[in-house]
Amino acid sequence: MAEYHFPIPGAKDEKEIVVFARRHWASFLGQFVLSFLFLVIPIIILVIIYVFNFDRRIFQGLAVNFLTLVLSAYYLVGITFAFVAWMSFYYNCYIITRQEIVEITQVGFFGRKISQLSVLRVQDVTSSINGLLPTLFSYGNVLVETASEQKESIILQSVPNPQEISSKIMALHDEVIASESREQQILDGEGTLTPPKAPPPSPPASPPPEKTPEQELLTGEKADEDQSLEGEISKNDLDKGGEIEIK
Amino acid sequence: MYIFLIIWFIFLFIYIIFNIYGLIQVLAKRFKGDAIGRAVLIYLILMFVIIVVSILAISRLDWGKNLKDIFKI
Repeated sequence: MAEYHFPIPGAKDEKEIVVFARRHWASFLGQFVLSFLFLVIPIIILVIIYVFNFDRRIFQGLAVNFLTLVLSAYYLVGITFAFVAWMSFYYNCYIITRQEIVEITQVGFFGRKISQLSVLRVQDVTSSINGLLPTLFSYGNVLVETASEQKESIILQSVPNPQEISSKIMALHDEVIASESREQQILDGEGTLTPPKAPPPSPPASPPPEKTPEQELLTGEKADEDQSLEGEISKNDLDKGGEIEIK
Repeated sequence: MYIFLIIWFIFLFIYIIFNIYGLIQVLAKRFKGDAIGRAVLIYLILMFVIIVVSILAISRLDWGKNLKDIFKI
């Protein structure tokens, strides 16, 4: 058994799983029907040829040898496709724990993609049910978006009861935030208005000390320098002559 | 006609190797208590039945004829 760094069904930490969802079987109805037809069509064609006497030479001579080999290869490939399709259905699953959302995607025999997303980073959860079959069987998509700049997202495709799953994800998100006492940080990050804090009490104002005439002259010159704007030439600079450094 | 038979056996050989490797990979990545064991068993039985039926049919047919006789009555 492979080692997974998240709870999976049957493992010791299985209790941590809040939601374990697979794609609804009805979303694979088209593939099931197609696979069934793929297996049945050659038999139907042969029966039709035999019953309606179209050309019976196909059942005689070396054509039978050729047909046997082709049909054998056809059915071997057919059951492999059917098995891989079933495996994709079975191993395409979503595991939601108190800490993270895990998406497992099986691609054929050899490909397995696992995406993990922290529940804490969840920002928006959208559930949708579109179409006749999803409405009849109550399944749909759940889009989970993160608060990061790249807007990472996970789509839980064709899961049963999408509204229930989306509300559970948001409940878990609130739970994690409350447990980590990060409500204030999240509100600040979202730009939510918070009541302004009262300014600290200022010390009682004391009268300014008296200045000598020399000090008054110096402070006046400094004030003139400060008033000069960037790129403008102050009166003092004009008096100096020569090159003027424009900052 | 032997050429088709040889091609079929080469196909069968590659098919079996591919399946053995694929199933090993699948079984290595399974979850505890999943239904993949039963599914693999059913898959292997079906594969075995198709191969056995094919070999039985092939053994009953005459493969010594010329390719020109493919539609000969």
